[in-house]
Amino acid sequence: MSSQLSRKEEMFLTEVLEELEQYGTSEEERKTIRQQIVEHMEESREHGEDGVESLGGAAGFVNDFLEISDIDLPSEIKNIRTTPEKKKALFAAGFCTLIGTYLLSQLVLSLVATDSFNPLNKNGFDDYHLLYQISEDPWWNTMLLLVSISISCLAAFVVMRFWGRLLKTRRKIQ
Amino acid sequence: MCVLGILTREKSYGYEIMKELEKHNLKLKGVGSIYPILNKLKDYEWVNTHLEITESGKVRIYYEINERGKLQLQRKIEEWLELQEDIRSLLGSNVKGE
Repeated sequence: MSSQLSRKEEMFLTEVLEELEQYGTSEEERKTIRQQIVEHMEESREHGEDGVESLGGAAGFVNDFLEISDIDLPSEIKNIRTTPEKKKALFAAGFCTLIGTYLLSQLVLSLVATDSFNPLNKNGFDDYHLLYQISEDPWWNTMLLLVSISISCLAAFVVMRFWGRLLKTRRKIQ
Repeated sequence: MCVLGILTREKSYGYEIMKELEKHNLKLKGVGSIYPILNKLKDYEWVNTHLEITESGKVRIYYEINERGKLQLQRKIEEWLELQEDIRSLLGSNVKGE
């Protein structure tokens, strides 16, 4: 659909959609707005009008849209400003979960899946290291490492996803 | 209310609705305002939408008022007429007072 737009119209469309994304409009809403704008541009062109100008420019269109959609502009601007900080916190939480889960997983696997802490194992295991060497058997050690990495990545993903959703929900409630 | 009023006559699309409003000297705050208004009507489930491809190959989103929309429009018209009556009686008494 958008391939029939001129460069100016394409720029307008991109600018509007980017701004609306910042203000928390859903992908579904943006898809509809995209269709509406493309339709408006084509109709305007057919009637000898400048579609971009008739919509009041990107800023004008976005302002009208937010106002009619009852989106509180000042609080949305505040949200946009605090978003990078929230993202940093989200990544920090993900990283901490990753490290914590990895260490915990390695410890649990050392206890249940290796003889490293077995008091009956008299030969001892001098090269033990919680981070990368929990079993004497290299093949088994690699398997356990992969298990720990997988579990920790999954845990970090879950934490980041749920936290992210929670932040989005709070933003919508505000 | 006005947009729903236009749609009771026949199904229509954004640009045409906008032009119809202009014909009746009903200027929106911004021309682009018609689209969020239409989206709102759709969210309230007062209108149904469907895509149609014109002969020239353009894709149009058509809006059609449904039963809920008609009911809502009727309510709004009644409210509007009541308000109009109240204002008329107020202004009428002002004129008499002069």
